[in-house]
Amino acid sequence: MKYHMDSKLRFWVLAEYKNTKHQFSALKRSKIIAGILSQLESVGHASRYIRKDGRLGWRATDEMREELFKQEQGAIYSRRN
Amino acid sequence: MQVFDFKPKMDYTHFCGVACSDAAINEETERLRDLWQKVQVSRDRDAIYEYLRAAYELVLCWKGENQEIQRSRRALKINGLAPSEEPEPFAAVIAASISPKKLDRRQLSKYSRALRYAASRQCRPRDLKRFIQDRRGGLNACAAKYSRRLGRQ
Repeated sequence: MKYHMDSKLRFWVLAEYKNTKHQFSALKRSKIIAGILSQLESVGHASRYIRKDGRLGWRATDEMREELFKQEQGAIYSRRN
Repeated sequence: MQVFDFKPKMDYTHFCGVACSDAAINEETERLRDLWQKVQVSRDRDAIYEYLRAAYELVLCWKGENQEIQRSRRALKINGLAPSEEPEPFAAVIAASISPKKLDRRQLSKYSRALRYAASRQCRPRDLKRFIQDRRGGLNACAAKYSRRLGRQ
């Protein structure tokens, strides 16, 4: 099954997939991604939306974007010092 | 020879493959609650459309998976409200995200009817404000049109 995600969410889901796939080698890729999406949704970092064609898509929430922005700022600040 | 016509009990045509946990439903209602609080603080008279759009989109998502009744019941339950057998999804989502003390029944009914009218006209979430405000004469007019359609005055 394919999951339509926005670019920001896709990047982090795939990063998480690479980290966790060795733990669930018996599962298919789509199952692992479904699990990651479900977890991200449970903590409020991903949400479902209806696409133009009426199918379901996934996107990063404002909460996730804010958190990533903070982390990026923190990383830039620590690199400067 | 008898041919069995297999019909599964569940309809998987709209199944998206990701289960919606209680925590996820809670997060969605929390997000709506935050939006409602922003609307209350804002002095912009059109701020309510942001909230309505989010509620509308959420129910359409659930509808897309054929789960709107079940999930709206769960949303009510999670937020400590007593769900009916078959709650109206728009009303349930609004009631779950706003404290009943802060929103009276008439206002809740008005928002729910306006959103149902928009859904019956297959309005897209991003066009909701334009649909209600510019094309249909506002929230009250939309709610009245939906009531008229049901045969109520």
